[in-house]
This record gives sequence, structure tokens and C-alpha cells, in this order.
Amino acid sequence: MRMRTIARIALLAVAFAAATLVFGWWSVAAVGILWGVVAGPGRRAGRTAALAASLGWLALLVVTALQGPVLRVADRVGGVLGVPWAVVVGITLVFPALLGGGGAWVGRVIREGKGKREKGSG
Amino acid sequence: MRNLGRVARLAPPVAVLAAVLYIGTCPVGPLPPLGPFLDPAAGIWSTATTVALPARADATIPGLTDSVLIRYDDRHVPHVFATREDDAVRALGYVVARDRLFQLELQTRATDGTLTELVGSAALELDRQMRRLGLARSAERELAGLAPDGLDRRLIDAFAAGVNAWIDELGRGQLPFEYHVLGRRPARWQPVHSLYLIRRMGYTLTYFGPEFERLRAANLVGTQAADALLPIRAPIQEPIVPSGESFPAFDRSPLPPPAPQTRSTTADDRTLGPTFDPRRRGASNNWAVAPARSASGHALLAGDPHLELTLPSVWYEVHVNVADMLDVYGITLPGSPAVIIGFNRDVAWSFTNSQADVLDFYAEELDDPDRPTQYRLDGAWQPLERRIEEFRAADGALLAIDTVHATHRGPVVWRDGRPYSIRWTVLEASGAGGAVYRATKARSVGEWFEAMEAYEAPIQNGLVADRSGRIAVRAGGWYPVRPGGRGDTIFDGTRSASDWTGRLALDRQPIAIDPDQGFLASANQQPLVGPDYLGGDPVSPWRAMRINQLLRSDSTVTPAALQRYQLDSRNVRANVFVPALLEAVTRGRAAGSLMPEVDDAARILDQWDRRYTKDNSAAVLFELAMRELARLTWDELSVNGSAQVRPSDMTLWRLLQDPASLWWDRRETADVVEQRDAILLSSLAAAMDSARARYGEPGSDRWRWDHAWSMNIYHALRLSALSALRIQHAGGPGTLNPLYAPRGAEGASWRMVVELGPEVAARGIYPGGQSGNPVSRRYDDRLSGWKNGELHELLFPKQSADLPADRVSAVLVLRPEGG
Repeated sequence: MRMRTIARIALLAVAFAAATLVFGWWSVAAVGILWGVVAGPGRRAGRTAALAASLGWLALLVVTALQGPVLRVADRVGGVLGVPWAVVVGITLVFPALLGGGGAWVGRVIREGKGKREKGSG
Repeated sequence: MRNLGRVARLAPPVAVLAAVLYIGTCPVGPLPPLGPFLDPAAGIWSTATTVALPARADATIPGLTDSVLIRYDDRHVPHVFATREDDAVRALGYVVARDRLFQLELQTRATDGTLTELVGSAALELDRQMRRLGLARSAERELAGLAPDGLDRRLIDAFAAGVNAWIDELGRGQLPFEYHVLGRRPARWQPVHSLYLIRRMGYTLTYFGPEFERLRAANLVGTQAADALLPIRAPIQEPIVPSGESFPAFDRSPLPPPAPQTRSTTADDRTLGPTFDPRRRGASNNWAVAPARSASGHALLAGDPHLELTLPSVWYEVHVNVADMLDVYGITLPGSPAVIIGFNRDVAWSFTNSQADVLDFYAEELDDPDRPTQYRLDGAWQPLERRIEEFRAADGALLAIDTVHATHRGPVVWRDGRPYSIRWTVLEASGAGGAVYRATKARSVGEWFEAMEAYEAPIQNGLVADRSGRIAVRAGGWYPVRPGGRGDTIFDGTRSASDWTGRLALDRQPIAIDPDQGFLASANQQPLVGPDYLGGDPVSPWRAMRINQLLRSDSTVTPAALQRYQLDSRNVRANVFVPALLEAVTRGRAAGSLMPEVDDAARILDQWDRRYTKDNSAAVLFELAMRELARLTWDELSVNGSAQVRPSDMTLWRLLQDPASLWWDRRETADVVEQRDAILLSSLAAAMDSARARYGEPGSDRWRWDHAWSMNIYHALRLSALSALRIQHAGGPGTLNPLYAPRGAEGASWRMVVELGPEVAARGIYPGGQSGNPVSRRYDDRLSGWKNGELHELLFPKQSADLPADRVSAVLVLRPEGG
């Protein structure tokens, strides 16, 4: 993976994390849509957004872990839901991926539609 | 066409995103909406950040008049230092909410019957019962009667302000764990909610009665036998109030025989009379020792209330100091502005339930059983009070509608299609909170009693000791006086002559002050042998007998001894029954008619020290034998194998004195007349067989007390993952350190020992921890100490600076607005 790609994913992850902190979980979808619209052509926008969203939430979990026992939370939640703690962590990382990736997919289709319209009218 | 193509291309990604957003927003099955739940900044993960208090925090509370300093010690007990009472109570509301916010709401909803709005339709039946009983409405009536500027009102207003200040301050990431799981937000705390607590405790401690059980017994074996099976006066007496006579005292007179079968063994419930399921709960111990019998020459007091054990605990430990006005340490019910059990600089106190009969049923005649509007009274129709109750789910959806009714006596409940109204002191009493609060300021036993004169319900055995060396106990409160005296039958609701005629005067209520014997003990036993009817369902006095035995034999009692007594696992009940079983074996052996399993059982019981230690196998066998003995003996009281009436072990003991009583004869063996020894031996044989089937041979790892019986401490929502289950426990039914069922959930909810010397010294513990956050180590950090029988030193600094710096874990400063 080229440095530029890594930097792009890192920046996007920061954007997802910041949006979550400020606006809440749903903003991951909004950032994903925006990313899909502004990202360059190609089919990788969704995958990039999914990975970055996961990393963004992982970063937030790491920050939380510095303040308290997140694995104990996972263990308690897993106990309540009847699943292993790792599943709770896994779902927490998959969920933003679906939100961010889904959003980016929508954004890409919007961008492509817009591009075709502009091409058609030009 | 081009637009259609664009929509077609957009549809799949939008559908996927919409689906993910839907899962994120809406609950799926038992799961909360995943978005807010999993949000790492504000969702369930954020509970990790609130497991410990910040070393230093400041907050502003509306209505505070002066700053309040709160220092948490290393056991997470807040020491509240204020200059005004109202400020101290505001601060108390704030710190309790900070640790126990979800518990506050849960117990409130459990009382006013709105649990469904928090946890869904699973709680509908509980809510229905609470709405029918009207505990919350009763609290509202008390609130309406409080003087706006009176102390009682000011206290609950201040407490509510403190709780709501914390709620208002809650950031996105500070919601308690359970709110995340349920996908809910905290409701605001109202002053009336503090008045719910004593009613909820009244429900726990007094919502039972012998009336329906007596009716069923009378239908099965006749009135005379029923009266003997469920006696008003306990057959074994070890009263709370010493009378100078020698105790324990035993009534060895024969039981009247059962009347010839009056109902067939296939009788249905309708012919037997209604059932009334609520079982007696909430036993407790307390005792006090006068200076003459203590090693130090100071009065000692110990208390351990037995309640359902929960996580978080029903109790919250706190020290409140208001300059020159109040300096009290102890446990409070979250939601109460007052310390309930504890001590101040001069006085210590604790409570046990009195088991007084404060609830009566009246068989009512209604104009229309399906849609009643009136009830008959003295030949005329009277209007029923009628109320529509709606039950809603968390999303506001209507789950059910009930119409509840009340007569002039109280709420109408239905049993087997028949209406009964209830009169119950808990629904009419007032002033309990204020009385308990004033008592925390008492400087002597006399002042404590004076403050508690306003206390009405639920009636408690209030044991108190002071630094001058006085000890005393009073089972004080509102005892109803009924026409005819007794309250253990169902009254005729169509006659106003059935109504209560007054209250038992204070000077006739059980009281003992500085008795010659030099100690006092209460363990829910019958309080005194007197002429007045106080209750018709006395508790077996095994615990009372044991503590009296221990205290009589020790004239230099120490706090360490009291701690040992609280953990005592020796069972007087076994002392009473094991010899009877072994004597029957001896006689059977002499007659040459002993089954081998009986011999085996006898060998085990013969070697037993009558203690319920964890590795004990005899205790397991004994409990099985007692269950079999009751089953085989009281066959007259069963229908289709189901026990309709459960006489106490005291009554069983009384029957043991009469080897040829007709009660021993089993009705299913028409051609044989069994006598006592045959039933005792059969019980032993059945117990031995049952034990072998369940646990293998004697000496196996499974045939141990802590395997067969254990303690379960459930989370308030009964979530197993947040509970402490299968706790090994040295104690059983009838021991001072009790366990009431094979998977018991009730036990010593707080243990406290206080020495009232020149400086009060106290130790205590409850199972659980101060924090309600299941992720915090403070959630259950005291549990292992409680299991091991430890008591922690209770720090009681006179000033905030007196709390040793190395024992301060956090500081909170509450300031008035603009301060």
C-alpha cells in the first residue's frame, strides 16, 4: 500500500472519529457519503471508507481503554447478550464499516450520476 | 428514462445504508438500537470511563446555600460535610444518583407500577399488582398532607434537587450501564419518590398474612385443627421482651386431631378457598449488650437485616455531618434522605421486622362482579372508588388497561373470582421518613424512642443502645385494633362493624429497656407473651434461641464475639429435631425393624455438630429429612400432592411430643395406622435415598452443603452476567447467618457491630459495592469480604480534615449557583 493511500485512510479515520465524537454515531454515514462524493474515480472509495470508519472507532476505543477497562465492558455486555466478548468488539468495528462503506457507496453513485449528467449536457 | 436509470443505480447502496441505519436506530429483538449502544464515545463503552471517580471534581447544584465538601474514603463511602441540613441532603441526593441512578429509577417504577415503560411487557403483571395496591397513590396522599415548609417536605425536596442536579449534568458518555442496554434515558426524580421507599419496604416486610392459609386449613381439617396448626401464640417462646420467666418455653400440649376429611383430595381451589401467594420475606437479627456484660464496660450493638440480596445492594453507605446538628453514619436506602440503620456519636440502632399483622382482608359484595360500581355496607350500596390504569411500553404503546377499585377500607383485590378489600397500615401510614431522620439526631435511647414515636409502618423491632450504657428495644408502630381482637381471619366486608376500631396504645406496645439479663435480642420472633393480638403468624425462634444461648453464656462480650455470632452456623432447629430422629432410630433398632438406609442416615446425623459448614454433609441430609418429614406428616393438608398449608417447624415439634397423634397416620394407607416413629424413620429413609440419588455416596464432592445449597445475588434486572451466583455459604434455615432456600437470594444485607465507648467504634459490610456500574470494581468489591465474614472498619471523622489523607480516594465539592 502506498504511503499516500495510508495517509488518506488515516485522515479519513480521524474524520470518522471526530464526527462520531461531535455529532454521534450516525455521522459516520454522512462522512461516508461525503467521501464517496469527493473521492476520485474508481471502486475503492467504499472499501477505503469502511476500513477508515472501523479504524476511527477503534481509535476511540483505544482512547476509552486508556481511561477505563473496555475489555471488562465487552465481557459484561457479552455476558448480557450471551456472546463472547470478542464478538462485542467485532460488532463494534463492523458496524461503522457498514455505515461508512455504505455511505461511501451512495456517495460514489451520486458522484457518478452527476458526472454522467454533466457529460451528457456538455 | 435517464432518471429511472439513476434511481436504479442509487437504489442498492441506499437500501444497504438504510438497512444499516435502521439497525442503528431501532431495537432488533432484545437488542437496543445498535448505533447509540455501540458508539465508542457515548455508548456502552463509555461506562468504562466512569468506573472510578475523578480525584477531584466540582459541581454546581441549584438551591444549595453553601458549599458542601464530600470526601470519599478508600471504601468509596462519601463523607458529606455541610453547614445546613438541606444542603447535606441535596448533596446526598447528588452522590447517591452519581453511584446508583438506575437503581433509583428501577425501584421507583417497581413501586408505581411503570416498569413496563422501562423494561417492556415482561413486567406487566408486577405493574398490575402495584397499581391495584396503590402504593404510589398512598405516597401521593402523604405528600399532599405534608406542610410545605416542614422538615419532612424540605428533606425530600432537597434530595430530589440533588438527584436531578446529577441527571442534568449527565454528559453523553455518563449514562449508567443499564440505560445503554435498555436503550433508555433516566427519568427525573420527584420528591414523592422518596416516599415510595418506605411503602416498598412495607410491601416486602408486611404484605403477607395467615388469613387465606387458615381458611384453606379449616376447609381441609376443621377450624379447631387449623387454629392449632397456625397458632397465634408460638408453641416455642423466646420473646424479645424478657419477662423474668425462664426461656425458651415450650408448649407440649397435644395438637387437636384433624377433623374427618371434609374436602376430597381432588378438591379444586375454589372449594378450598383462595390462595394468597406472597411468602414471608425479610427476616433479620439484632442484639445489644449492656456494659455489665461487655469486656470493655461499654454498650455493644449488632445488627444484620436479612433482605433479598441484589447487585447493586439495597443499601448505600454514607456519613453525613452537618455542623452542630447532625453527625450520622450508616446505610440508607437509595432515595431516602435519612440514614436508616447506623450510629451517631452517642447512639447506635438497628431494625428487625416485627412480623406484626397490619393487613386485613374483607370479603366484599359488589353490585356487578363484571363491572362493579358499588359495594354493600350495612345494607346499603356505597360507591366504589374507580380508577383506570393504563400500562405502556417503552415506546408509549398501550399494553393493557385495568380498572382498579377501592372501598373505604382500601384497594379491592380478586382471589378466585371473589372480591376482597384490603386494609393495610402501609397504605395509610405517614411520617416514617421524618421520624427516622429525627432519630438519627438522638443523643440517648430516650431521645431516639421519642423521635420514633411518629413512626407507624412497617412495624419494626427498633433496637437501640447509647454511650451512657442503656440498651432498649421497642416493636413500635401502628398496630390495628380489630373487633374481636384477632386479625387472622377474613372479615365480613358488608358490615362496618368489621372495621378497625383503633390503634394499640404506645404504652401497650412491646418494649424492653435495660433488662436485668444485660442483653436484648430480636430475630423476628414473637415479641412478648402478652394479652394483645399482635400477629397471627409467628416466626420460628431458632435464631432467637441461638443468640440468646450465646449471649447468656458470655458475660464478657467483645465486638469480635458479636461478629462471630453473626456468622454462627449452628442450628438450634437441628438441636430440636435430630435427637427425635435418632431416638426413633434407636427404638426401631431395638424392635429389629430398621432399614439399612436409615442406619446410614442415623450414623451421619449422630456425628453431626449441628453446624452448617460448607463441607458439611449432615446438614444436607437433615434438610432433606425435614422436607420429607413435613411432606409425610402433613398429608392431610395436601391436595393432589400439592401442599395447601405449611405449618411451621414449631408446630411440627409440638406434634413430636404426641407419638400416637392421628396427624401421624397417612391417609393414603387406609389399612395401616402410622405413628410418629414410623414417619420419622420413613423420612430418614427417603432423605437418604434422595441424597444418594442427587449427590452420590456420603463423602463425595457433591454431597456437601455448599454444593447442595448456595446463595444467589442477582442483578436488579436479574441479568445473570451481572449477578453473583452460586456463592458458597456457611449457614442455613434457622442459623444466625441464614440461607433460606437451596438457591437462596436472601441473607444478611448488612452486618454491623458498634461499640459505644468514649469514641464510637464500628465495623460493617454489605454484599456488593457502592457503585451501581457493573464495570466498576466498586460494583462488587465487598463481596469476597462479606463471603469471608469480614467486617470493615467504618471511618467516622468528626471533621473533614480528620479523614486520613491516605484513605481519601476522591473529593467532590458542591457549590451553590453563583458561589
